[in-house]
Amino acid sequence: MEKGMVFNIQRYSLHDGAGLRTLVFMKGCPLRCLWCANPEGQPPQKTLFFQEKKCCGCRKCVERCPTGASAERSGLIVWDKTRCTECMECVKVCPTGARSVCGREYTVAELASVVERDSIFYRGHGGVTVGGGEPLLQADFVSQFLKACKEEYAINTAIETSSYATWEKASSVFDYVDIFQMDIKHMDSAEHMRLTGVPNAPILANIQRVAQTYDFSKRTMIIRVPVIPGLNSSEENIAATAEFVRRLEVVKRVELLPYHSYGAAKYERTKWSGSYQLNALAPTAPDELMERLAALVRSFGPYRKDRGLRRGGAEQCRSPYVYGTLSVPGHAAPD
Amino acid sequence: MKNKAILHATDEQKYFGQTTVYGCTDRVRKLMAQMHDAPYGVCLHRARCFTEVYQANEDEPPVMKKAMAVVKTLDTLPLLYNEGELIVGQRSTKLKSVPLHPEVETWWIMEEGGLKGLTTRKFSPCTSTPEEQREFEEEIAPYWEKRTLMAKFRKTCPQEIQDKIIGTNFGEVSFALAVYGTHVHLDWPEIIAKGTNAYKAYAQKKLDEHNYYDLEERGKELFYKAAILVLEAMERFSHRWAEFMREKAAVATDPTLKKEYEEIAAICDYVPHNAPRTFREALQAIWLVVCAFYNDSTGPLLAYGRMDQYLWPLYEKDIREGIMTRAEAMELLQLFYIKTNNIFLFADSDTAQHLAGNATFQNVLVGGCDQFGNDATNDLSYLIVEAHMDAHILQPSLCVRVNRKNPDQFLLKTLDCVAGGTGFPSYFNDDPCISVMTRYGNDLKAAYNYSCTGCEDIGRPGGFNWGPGQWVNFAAAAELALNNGIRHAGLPGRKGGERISVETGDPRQFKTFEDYMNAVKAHVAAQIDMVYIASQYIVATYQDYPLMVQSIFMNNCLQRGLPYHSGGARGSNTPGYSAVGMADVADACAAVKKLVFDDKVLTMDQLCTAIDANFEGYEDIRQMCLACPKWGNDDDYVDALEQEVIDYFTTYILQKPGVFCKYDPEQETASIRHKCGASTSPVSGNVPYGQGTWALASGRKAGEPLGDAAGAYMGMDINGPTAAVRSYGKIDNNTISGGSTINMYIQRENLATPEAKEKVLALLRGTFALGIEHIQFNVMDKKVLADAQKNPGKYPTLMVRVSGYSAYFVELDTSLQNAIMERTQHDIA
Repeated sequence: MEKGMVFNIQRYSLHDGAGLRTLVFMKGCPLRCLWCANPEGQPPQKTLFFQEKKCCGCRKCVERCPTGASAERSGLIVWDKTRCTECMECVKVCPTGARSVCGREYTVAELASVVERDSIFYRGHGGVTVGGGEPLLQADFVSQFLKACKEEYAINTAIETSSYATWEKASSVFDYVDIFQMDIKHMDSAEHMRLTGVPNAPILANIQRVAQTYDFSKRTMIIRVPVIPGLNSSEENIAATAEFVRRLEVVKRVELLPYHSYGAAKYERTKWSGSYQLNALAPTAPDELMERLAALVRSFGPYRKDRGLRRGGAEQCRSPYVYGTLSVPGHAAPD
Repeated sequence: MKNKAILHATDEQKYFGQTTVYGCTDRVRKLMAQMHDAPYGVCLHRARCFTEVYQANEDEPPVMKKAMAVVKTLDTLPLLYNEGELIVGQRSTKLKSVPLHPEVETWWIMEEGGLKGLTTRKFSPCTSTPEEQREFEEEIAPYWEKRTLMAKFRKTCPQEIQDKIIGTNFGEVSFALAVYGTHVHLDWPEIIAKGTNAYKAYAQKKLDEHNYYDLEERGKELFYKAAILVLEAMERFSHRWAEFMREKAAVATDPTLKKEYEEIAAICDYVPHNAPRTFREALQAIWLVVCAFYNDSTGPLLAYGRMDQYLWPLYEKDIREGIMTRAEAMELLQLFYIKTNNIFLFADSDTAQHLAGNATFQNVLVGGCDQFGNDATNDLSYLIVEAHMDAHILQPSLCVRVNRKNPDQFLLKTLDCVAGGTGFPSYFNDDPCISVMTRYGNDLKAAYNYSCTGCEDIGRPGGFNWGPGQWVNFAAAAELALNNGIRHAGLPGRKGGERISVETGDPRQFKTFEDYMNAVKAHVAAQIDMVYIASQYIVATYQDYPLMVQSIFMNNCLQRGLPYHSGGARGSNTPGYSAVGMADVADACAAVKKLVFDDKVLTMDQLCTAIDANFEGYEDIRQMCLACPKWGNDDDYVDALEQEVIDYFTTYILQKPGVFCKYDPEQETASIRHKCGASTSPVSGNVPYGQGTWALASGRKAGEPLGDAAGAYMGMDINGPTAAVRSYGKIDNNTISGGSTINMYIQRENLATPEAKEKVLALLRGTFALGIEHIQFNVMDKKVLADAQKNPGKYPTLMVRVSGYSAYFVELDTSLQNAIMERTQHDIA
């Protein structure tokens, strides 16, 4: 039985698709975006998560640790990541949860039953959103899971994805997705590689293929652009993105997500993420920048040409922008 | 269909005259500001009249003395008109002053340092002049000190019981002795339909038919005579106002004002003794009855009920016939709302802390279903909500009945009101409420017409079910189960280190979790039993001072010839037990079960030792307790334990006949109409009760507030509001007659756009689909609250939802402010 590795499940999510949604964060991601706000979700295996401010100083972990990775220095409990093998012995004895395991396995049935618990609140258009990490990295599991959601529970499904995968894997998941939320981080391949660690060609190809393959009179596509000042926020890049999106002809709207550094603190708490690289940036993207880019993107619209039996009209084709919200879509709560 | 909206909400622009949508007229603004600025004060007029009458008529039977005193009060009350009012009437001589009820209040006023002491007290302070202070202390208090309800209670109730439940946060009864005549819902639909003279005619008829030879009927003729005296005085009172306004008209030079005064005079000459003929007359009628009511009872918690239903015929006719515009109706409603702020909470410090803030739960209820179970919303339902949105004033308390058949459009409008952040409205779920009504002896049509008083107690207009409320401390039950019924020595108040409850044995000898659970239940039962006995004595004291206005306008007093508390009440679930510490008991039970009995990582001795020490030196054990499953997270492990405790509570209570039962000749003792009532709405009692409860196995330390109402412990609901309400939905709300309060905290932006509002609507509908009885939303902005704490002068009208009611944040005590700020705000990051 296939199991999926999940690092968070967030109920009552308001900004990750239509209606009230339950957000499932799949663990593991092939990208390493410099601005990633969920670094603990990057490694696909279970990892240790250490939150200093929850530590009550009982020293049980120090006593238990076989490698000396958990130690006491000047009265404080510290974590020497170079020595840590993530055997998770310290977690067993930590009373406060300062040391916790990040990552938990679920079978399809177990995960579906969690999501089903809020079905009384979905009212037809709320549902489940699978994000992470990168859901396509566990395509087999996610595909079975979404299939169960749709066919057994009649729950609306959404995905938040980088689209970085082979078409074979990606489409096995996409077949069961109602709402596509797909990121475009940079249109220039070299820049994309520098910022995320992977090329953008497979991503753009997948997005185009999705637009051509599925019926968007019944499904929804939303393109999301995280706006990182100075890295991908040039007018040239945003314009190129908008043009690409326009040519797809099916996108309902483009969402510009303002950069924020709320996840930076989590880099300290995981072994694998290195240190946060973007400390030079201001904690949030300036409103002025966002408004200017929004106007630019708006000028490329309308993005969606009507197909099928939807009632037409200029309003249907307009693309509203969503940005500047205080709460952060797709951001797993920090502690 | 008769009740359907005749003016669609979007037509309002057309009908709004000079005001913008949801705006206030200058008249309203001015009177609202005046009401805000007025200090809370006292009025000695009623106290003087009562002292004179009672001193001169000591031999008269209680019902006659009471009636004569009320008559004198109304006949001689100096009248006060506030410039600009269209609805007139004052219960006292100053704008925001309470008529003192010395037969009820003297004991606590004197215990708190006289009227002078009240000016500087922490909770609900109240001003008075030195002259008023002197007069009360020297001329009024001496006569009443030994004659108050509390004085008699203290003499008659067994001392052993008094010791255990007064000042111990274990059960509590002083509320019912500090105020008298609460949770009242006069039969407004009848009063409006028939006028008060119909009641006089009826009383006269009963008097004429009185059978002096029937010993069972003995004494009832006095009640009818007394009722007639009071009703006649009420009519004279209205005519006094008419005369007063006519005199003002006579000397007015401005022709507009002159006309206004004359109109007011004409209306006061006509209502409430005659049935009102217009919407405006109806509001005036209600208000004049209210003025009389408060000179008889202290209240508080007098509800106005389903105004959108019983005022609809007059409203609809006036609009249709062009007598009134929608804008004018809006203004009249707001003027009425302003008047309700005349009334404020006046009680002992203990009660004031439990009902923090000065609200008195004057409920206006809209929505719900009609007598066929169909959607009853109409244009007046929308207008009442809209009027609230711009009247940023503490009272009345807007409540909404949510029926499955009510349209989303209506609920979205109420969410606009919530977005204003005042904590209004609170929402009632028709399904469980109607079920409770039928379960408590009401036929289906009456059940469909249910109304509410207090935080969310439900009953029928004119026939309320909920009696004086007492508290049951669930958290203390969890604590005492680990301490063999002995109150911890470290607690403030009385009986520290002494036994206040039954013996449940040394917990270290418990073999299974069931042993612990049974001990908890035993302590819950002990409180119920002691309060029950005390309530007998409380009701006995009520016999000395029958409540006349309440008895006249509530069923079945005139029919039976008995005052309300002497067997006239049609049904009253008294005592009504209100549980506090719901989250605490569930969380404590879950911790004991998991740590000691299931996982066996602690011995009972280790746990008890840590708790006894208030976890000092045992932080690791406390963390283990905190890590256990918590109520409000959709976790069956702990939710099942809550179900068990609540089920025990409601079942145990229903076994007992209510304390009015023995006065009621028609009902058998087993009648459920007279059983005790259960509720899970402790208002703000979680803070003072927390101060008197020791540390718990939930990880909570001694003295910290208990859980807020029926919801999760503050900050422990970490799976979002949908998970929280899934927990709350697991207890059977169909058994809770006194209502159940759930507070939900959301951010302002969750109501900012149609899409966002739709999501809150989904939450509301989903919550009610789970059978939860009641929910209220508090729109919080933590930064604003923090700022208001530091600079209260900047935020005089900032209101928050406390627990079943709203209060001015800056008037709340700091510990309650902090508790409110700590409540979990739900949004995703």
